Amino acid sequence: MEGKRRLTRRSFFRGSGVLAAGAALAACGATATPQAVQETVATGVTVAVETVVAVASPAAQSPVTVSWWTPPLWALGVGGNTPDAPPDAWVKDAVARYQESHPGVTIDAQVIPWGEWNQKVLTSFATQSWPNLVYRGLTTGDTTAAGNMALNVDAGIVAPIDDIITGEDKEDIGKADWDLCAYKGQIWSWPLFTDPSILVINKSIFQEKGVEDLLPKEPERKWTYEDFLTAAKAVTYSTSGGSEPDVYGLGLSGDSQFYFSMGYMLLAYGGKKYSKDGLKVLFDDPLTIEYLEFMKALQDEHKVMVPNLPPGNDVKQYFYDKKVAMRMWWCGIASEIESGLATGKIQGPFELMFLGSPNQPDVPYRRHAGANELTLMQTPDPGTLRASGDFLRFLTDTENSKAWKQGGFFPTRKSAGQGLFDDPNFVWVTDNLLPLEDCYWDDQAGGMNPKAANALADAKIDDMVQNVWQLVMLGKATPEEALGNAAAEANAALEVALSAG
Amino acid sequence: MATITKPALPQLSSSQASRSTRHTRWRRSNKWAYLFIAAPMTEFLIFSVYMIFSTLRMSVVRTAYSGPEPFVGLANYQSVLTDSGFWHSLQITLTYTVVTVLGGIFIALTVSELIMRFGTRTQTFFKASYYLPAVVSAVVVSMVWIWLFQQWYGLLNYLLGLVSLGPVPWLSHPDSALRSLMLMSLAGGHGGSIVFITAAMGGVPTTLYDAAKVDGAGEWTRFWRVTLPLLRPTLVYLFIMGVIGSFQVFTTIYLMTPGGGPLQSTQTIGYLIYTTAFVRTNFDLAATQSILLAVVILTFSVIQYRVLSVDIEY
Repeated sequence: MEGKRRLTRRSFFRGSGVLAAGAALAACGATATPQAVQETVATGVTVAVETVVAVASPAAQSPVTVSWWTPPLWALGVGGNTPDAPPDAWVKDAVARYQESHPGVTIDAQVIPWGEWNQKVLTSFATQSWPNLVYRGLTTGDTTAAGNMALNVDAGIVAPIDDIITGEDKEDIGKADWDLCAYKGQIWSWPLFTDPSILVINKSIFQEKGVEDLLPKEPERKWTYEDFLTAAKAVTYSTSGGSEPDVYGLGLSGDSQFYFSMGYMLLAYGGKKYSKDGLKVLFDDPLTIEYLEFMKALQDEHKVMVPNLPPGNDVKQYFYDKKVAMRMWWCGIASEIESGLATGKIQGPFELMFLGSPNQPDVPYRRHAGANELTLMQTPDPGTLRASGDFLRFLTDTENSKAWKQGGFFPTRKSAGQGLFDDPNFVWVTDNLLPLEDCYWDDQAGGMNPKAANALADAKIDDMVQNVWQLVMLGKATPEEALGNAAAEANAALEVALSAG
Repeated sequence: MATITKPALPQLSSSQASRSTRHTRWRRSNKWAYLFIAAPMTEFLIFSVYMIFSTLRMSVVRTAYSGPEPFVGLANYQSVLTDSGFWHSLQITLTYTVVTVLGGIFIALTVSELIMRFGTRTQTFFKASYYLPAVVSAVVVSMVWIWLFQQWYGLLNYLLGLVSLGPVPWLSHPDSALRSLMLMSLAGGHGGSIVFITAAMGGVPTTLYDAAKVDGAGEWTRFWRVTLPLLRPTLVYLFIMGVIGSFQVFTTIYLMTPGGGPLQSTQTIGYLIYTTAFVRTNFDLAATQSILLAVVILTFSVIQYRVLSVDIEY
């Protein structure tokens, strides 16, 4: 009798084997799960329409928990003026304020570090374990952010928010920002804030060289590529009087170039990336080629640009150390410089000036911004969806939108942005840059064909663009060769994807 | 006569006796050891066995955020194997592996041979010194090397500048980025190998050296004919583990050459899998690349084991 109960090594491993087989079967059988989820998601779509109607009620009737994932966007705390504030300070405050006025609703907020953000969000999408509200920024989809929106909508994982948007909201936030969130005639995201690309100038270098008058004039601060080249030449010099410069007019890196050179500066030059419908890559457009030839000449012929495309962190350091007078970046640099000056990491004088990209005379002057959004995700529970929509409205009201006055962000709500800033650079962005037409999504608008977006992602379009930039600037190919090859490869991938039915 | 009576032992009931016997048998049978391995076994089943099968499943379907994930057979494998980026990454990984593993073991062997010439205390000092970097995380080591390689402020270019050379764009040029990473790998991180090799060297019977000396063997011959053959099992182990580690290299690439380096010149297979999954969100292709990487590592390991492993009897 006892022999039967003995746990022998063989029986132990047999048991383990059964468990392993079970695990394997569970893994192989997981294909059934998405189908089940699809059913619940489908239910969620129906519910979403309900949500929108019922969202006017202040709070859900029964206790409900809303999960909200955000990166550490509010870096300066509750008042927007505490440099060492915990990354979740503003979030905790907002959650406490909301929960106080909405008994029965619990907000489970998670502030996820940037380093983990992409991985965590994309994994949650892939494993059908997404939160109720999620920040959607440029990081969730590189080149094909707009396309990802389309793909996510088509996959049924996000909920439409049309019915929680009032006419007042539509007026208060620019059409370009709403258009970014639109797909198939519905709105799928709330534009929270914008962080436009800008050319950041260390005005002190210009002042030291006595060439401040080469910078664009107030109030519009517009300039051409010719003006830009003249200014860059004037601030490229050797501090020791040698023949080789150790201060350069312009610093651009080999990474992040899509947003900060191939994007804004290329479009302001008149170049193109894609056709309006996103179905054709236009890298081989003559003006795109000419733009890269111009950039190459900045480095090799005029020698006003730091050679060999240093890493982004190096360019940042050179700018802090006054080795670079101009770089393409975003307004968040103001608080970095301020903090650096206060702690002595950056030596003064260091006066910042924000500018737009230089423009070719016949190209309209535009901004390069896009928006960063908050997305309501599908859930089968109507109460949760309703409460999530209500919390989304709370986070995006005028008062809470004013909290974007930190870290270099600008609220998309005009009512929140009016008179919010007193720094002349931020006032210039608010009054002169933001009202301009946005060129960021000009060639890949929210309605981009999801198949094309997917094909471009599969064809590693971002790597292609980055390769083109590096091939040309590192002297491995001519602009015509690099752009021509990239366009041919990308268009071949697009053709295959679009002809697949 | 006085009669000595033994004190009466307490009588156990039959059930108590049975329980006691079972308890003793159980304790003596070592079956309780299974309890200790139950936790790691469970972890192994969930995080290794399940994950392997899950990855295998993902490699033969078209993954989706929701909805059905259709079976696509070997289409993902075809897609990966016809992707020039995969072969480019494999080539970079192989180059990195060959240089860093062979070079690393050569350096470790040389350093170990030199260390073994000292007395015990000095040996311990050197072993500890060489092993010290192993306790520092790869992140910290990478950050230090980023600054050493920095083009304008870095120590290496400063030293080159003293002899009128450079500056070298160590990490920002496609011709130098991979070499810089290999240089970093060769310059440190041999502590573990040195500990293994010196331990093995210490186990070589001195009588063998004495006999070789008597036979007229010089220092080089003794090393080549006595030390090296006896180190073979240790070296095989280090080769296999080194190859596996090099094939999976990720942290330094991710931190030191973001985006896979200039013109993807440092995009190893590990980095390619990461970007495929978490940048391009192609989880099915990333799973396929992972399976192929596992096959490559397994193949190399078997070949290494077959070629290098021999039973040595003295």
